[in-house]
Amino acid sequence: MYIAIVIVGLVAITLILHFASPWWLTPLASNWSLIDTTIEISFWITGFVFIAVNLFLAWTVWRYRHNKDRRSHYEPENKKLEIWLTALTSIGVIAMLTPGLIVWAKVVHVPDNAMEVEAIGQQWQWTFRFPGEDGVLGAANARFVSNANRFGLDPSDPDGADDILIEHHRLHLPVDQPVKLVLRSNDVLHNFAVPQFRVKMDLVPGTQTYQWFTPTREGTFDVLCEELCGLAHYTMKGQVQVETEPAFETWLETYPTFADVQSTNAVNLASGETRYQSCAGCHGADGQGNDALNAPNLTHLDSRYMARQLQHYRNGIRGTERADSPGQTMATIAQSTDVESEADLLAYIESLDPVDVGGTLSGDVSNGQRLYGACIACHGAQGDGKVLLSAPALAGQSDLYLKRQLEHFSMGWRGKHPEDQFGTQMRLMTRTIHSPERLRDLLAYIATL
Amino acid sequence: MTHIAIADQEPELHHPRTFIGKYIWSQDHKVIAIQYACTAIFVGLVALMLSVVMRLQLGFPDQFDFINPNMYLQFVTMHGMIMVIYLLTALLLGGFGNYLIPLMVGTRDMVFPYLNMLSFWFYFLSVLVLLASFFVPGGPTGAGWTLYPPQSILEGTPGSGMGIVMMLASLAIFIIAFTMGGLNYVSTILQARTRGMTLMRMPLTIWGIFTATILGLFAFPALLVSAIMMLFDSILGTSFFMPAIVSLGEATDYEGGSPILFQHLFWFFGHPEVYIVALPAFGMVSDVLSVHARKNIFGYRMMVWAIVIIGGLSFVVWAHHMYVSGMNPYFGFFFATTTLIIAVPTAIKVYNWVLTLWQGNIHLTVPMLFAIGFIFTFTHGGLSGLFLGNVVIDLPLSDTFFVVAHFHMVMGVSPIMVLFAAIYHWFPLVTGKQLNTRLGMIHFWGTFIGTYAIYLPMHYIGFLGVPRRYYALGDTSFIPDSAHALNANITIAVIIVALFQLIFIFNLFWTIKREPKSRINPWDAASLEWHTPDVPPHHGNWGRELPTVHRWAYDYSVPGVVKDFIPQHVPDSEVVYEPGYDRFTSGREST
Amino acid sequence: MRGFSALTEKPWLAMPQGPMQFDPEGGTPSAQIALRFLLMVISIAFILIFVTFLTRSQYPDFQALAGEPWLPFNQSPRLWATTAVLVAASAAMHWAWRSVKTQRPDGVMLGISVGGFLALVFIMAQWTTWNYLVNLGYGVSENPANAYFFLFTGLHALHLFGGVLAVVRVFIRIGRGCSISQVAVAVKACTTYWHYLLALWLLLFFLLTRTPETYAIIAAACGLG
Repeated sequence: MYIAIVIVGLVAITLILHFASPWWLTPLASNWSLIDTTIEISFWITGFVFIAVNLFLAWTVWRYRHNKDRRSHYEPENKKLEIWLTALTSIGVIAMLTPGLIVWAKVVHVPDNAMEVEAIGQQWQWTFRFPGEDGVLGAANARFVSNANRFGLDPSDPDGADDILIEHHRLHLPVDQPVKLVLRSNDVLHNFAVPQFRVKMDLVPGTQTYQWFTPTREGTFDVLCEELCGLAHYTMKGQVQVETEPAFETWLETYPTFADVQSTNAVNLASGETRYQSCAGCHGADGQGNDALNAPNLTHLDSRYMARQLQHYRNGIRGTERADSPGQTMATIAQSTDVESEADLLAYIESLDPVDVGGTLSGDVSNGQRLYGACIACHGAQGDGKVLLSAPALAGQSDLYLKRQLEHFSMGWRGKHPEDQFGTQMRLMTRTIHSPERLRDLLAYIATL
Repeated sequence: MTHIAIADQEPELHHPRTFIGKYIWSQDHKVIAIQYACTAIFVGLVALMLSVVMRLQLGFPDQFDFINPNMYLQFVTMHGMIMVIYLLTALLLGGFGNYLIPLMVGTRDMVFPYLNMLSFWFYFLSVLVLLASFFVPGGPTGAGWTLYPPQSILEGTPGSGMGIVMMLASLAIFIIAFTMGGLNYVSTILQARTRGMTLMRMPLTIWGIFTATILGLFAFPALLVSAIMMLFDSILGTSFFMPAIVSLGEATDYEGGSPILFQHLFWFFGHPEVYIVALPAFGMVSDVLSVHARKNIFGYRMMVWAIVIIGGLSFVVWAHHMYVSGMNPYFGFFFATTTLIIAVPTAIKVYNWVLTLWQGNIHLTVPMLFAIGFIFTFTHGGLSGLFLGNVVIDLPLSDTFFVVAHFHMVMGVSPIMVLFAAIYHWFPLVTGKQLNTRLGMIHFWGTFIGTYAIYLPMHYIGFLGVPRRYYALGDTSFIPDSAHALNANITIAVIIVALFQLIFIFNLFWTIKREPKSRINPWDAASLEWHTPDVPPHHGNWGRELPTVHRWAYDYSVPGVVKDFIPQHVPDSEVVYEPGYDRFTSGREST
Repeated sequence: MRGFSALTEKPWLAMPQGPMQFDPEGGTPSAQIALRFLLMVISIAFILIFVTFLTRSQYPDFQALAGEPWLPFNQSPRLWATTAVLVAASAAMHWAWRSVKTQRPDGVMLGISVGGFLALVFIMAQWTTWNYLVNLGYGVSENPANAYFFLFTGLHALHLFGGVLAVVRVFIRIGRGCSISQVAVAVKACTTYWHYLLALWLLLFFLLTRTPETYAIIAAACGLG
């Protein structure tokens, strides 16, 4: 008996939730309003069936509940009724499928005036590539990926030389310009999804896929990877910033072409050594750092990582928190360093012999090893970091420095700035540490590497 | 393959004498069914626990230090795989299939009892291998239940070493077990039916199990093949599915393979798998509805055809799981069309269930409540499938929680509602005792309302665009705080529903220990399984002679007949009519 | 078809023919039905691998094992020899089945023994072929064509080995004194299985020793190009 009432109640709750809830598709920011329309159509049709079937069910259960003086009606089948129901259902299905297929035809056909852009996925970051002057994306293959050629472009393909490489997780796009987003993965499956654009597509290693859309609204939107791509899948986020054509052009000009990246300038180690003298005060003559001055060991770090950190210090991305005095100090120093000769300096630091700073913290090493399982993928089993994944070395680093940085990540002192992609990921990852004891265990393990 | 059909043998030929022969190495389909059911329910509880841990992290991110991203992905994977394969497939076909087929078609046992026993022990071995993967270095695989390469066998995914190998090995063993069982079910249904049991007199349960078994026999090879090929890729370094890639900064030796090829193989199995679970459930719920509404199933022939058509169509819709996989986008037209066509026979089944109740005389027993609950949840889940099957709507919704909500509604909650209906319904046959009704009612209400409280809001989280398989969402620009609160509520609902299942487990033990024997055939069912000489049926099921079937399984409330049901084995000459009723003018006697 | 008309029966109507309309006695033995389904299951598995094989054969890195003089299976006397063994095994099993029909126990024993033994010889021969390939530098992971060769022949050999186990079982049953009529169904099943695996091997043999051009034609014909 109650079941009839409950079913009516559940139908009512479903309707209330549907019409009154604040949770619905995010406001559209692309041309795909037709997809929303198709969803609307499906809603009305399925909603009608849902209400009709369940209310009839509830009424039937109530009306024909057990009564010992009554017998069930005997009717094996009713052809006419069944044919009617089949026909009506078919009409409903056709009414949903037809608009769906019409819209799909539009999804499949990329307009001729679409601008081609490539999105590249790798565990667990996004990078992008524009075709440059010639309007053609050069050939690429995961086989070519190396520290010097992080996008895996074919060096022998002349079309690739002028391709503009965006080694940043934010893609800028001009508003109202159709975009054909070519998708490529260098490692595993990924998926490029922007909820506000409605379309999504997998990135499949070994082949190219695509999707197209026209951004219609200015603003910044999240790019999510929506195909499970390993441990840190949930941290693989990017952004799309939609802006006016001139702003877009200005932004694009700040990025180098493949040819620019390939032609490396010779570095001057002697100049670097001279420049380093101003750093040696805190970081030590051998670059081994100094815990008393809160200066980390630089000898294991790669120049890409250090360059990125200097840039972050300089641009107010790292070291902005007032209570973080070492960070504040470094930010001030970074402001005054000479950007032009930075490459020399970093090359010199990279050339220093690695020095291992012993651990000072004690903890449960075996528990630390378990916790380190979440770090291995990027920082390596030996903690020596992976340049290609933008992960710095941890082994040999001062554990007090690592402790401070992990605390900063978890408190949001570091990695909160939207420009700091890897900081954001570290912020998500450090949340799994949970307690000071576990942090000590982890650091005690890293000290053994 | 070398056995002679049981029907041709002396009835008491294989009577086991020792305890081990009777309960461990048993060749009796009923004992094997119970072995299957207990194992399946046990792993099901493990998977339920995994889902609770997962939900704790989703609802209350970072509040619990016993779960980390590795474990989260491993639990997601194992929860999915266990529920779909080791619980639902095994319980519906290995458990109910084994128990009901010989009883419903009127035979003494499966045609190959020895093979049947092997089937269970292979299944048991596959479960052991699966559970053992929790204890190997690196833990079980965390590649998602779809096990997509390349990530499933590459560093950076939990359990990419031993874990995935154990998973694939366990699946291969399961498939061997299923094939042995499946050959048995199909041969028994085709060859060993008793006198008078024509195909169209079989209960819909048998039709559902029969069609599902054929689907399983034809679909599992795809999984087996993909598992073997992936094992080659993983262990021998071949490149069936592995293109040239970089893995976590290191170049690999793989060259030229295609990950999409795996997806095609996987879903060629994976979609029929949905119906391997759904069709037996469709069949069993039809029988439960009919018995408890004291009315024949409405449109029996249409129901049979629908089962067969759905089974056939299920082989040509697989790529609707792959709309955004990067396959040729033109496939979308074909697969969206076939997918939406399958909605028509499915809808007919829903209409016929409701029409079976219509003008019936509905006893709201516990099994009936679960069956009615099933109609509601299945309608909801089926309708949300029309969104995902329609290729353009899948673009915004695929890989979000909408998908999770949809498939849990349609192949999680719905088959489980039927499983409960079936357990409450057939328990008196299996044990001679009726499960405690009061506990059953509490269990039903908690499960029915609780699961809807979990999955209804989850659709809306999906509409927002919240992706699935995310350990934590972090900061996004588009997810309001209210959605996080909603997520926490869903988790609370999950915990409540999980607790209600303990009531069910308690009820099983309580009933076996404390409840008195119930009356034989307590629901007054007409189908053959309730009319064995002994309840619970003894080894060999039927006394000296096999029953002869004279009618279909749905002769309820036949006009003019005194009792409101006529058992299948009762000949027309023994049917007692009301005085003065002229059965020759009632229309039933003509063809 | 009988099957379809059976599905239009209205089961709620009383049957004028009476309840004896379906009679399980006689007809095909269950083992035959089960074997047919098993062969369908195995066929589906192999067809699916064929499909992936044809797809994969059109990728640029695929190097067929025949087509150029230096490739291992451009001339394949080795495979012809193993084929002859399998043909002989199949013939022996057929002889066993003939002997069942003519009620000659010795023939049955001889037939299944030789058939089973030759099957084992075939498996050994396949093993030497694998070694031969590996020694030539055509290891399993060198190229997808090699990988498929090992996969196909390995699975085929595994199925044959399963058949040998069934034959051993029949052998034991006869040894324990089962009469010919008691093992008739089993011998029939084994014979069918041997013929099936021979046919499958011939197909594999044909498929695995084609030139790239032939693969292109077959793949195009199957719409997989």
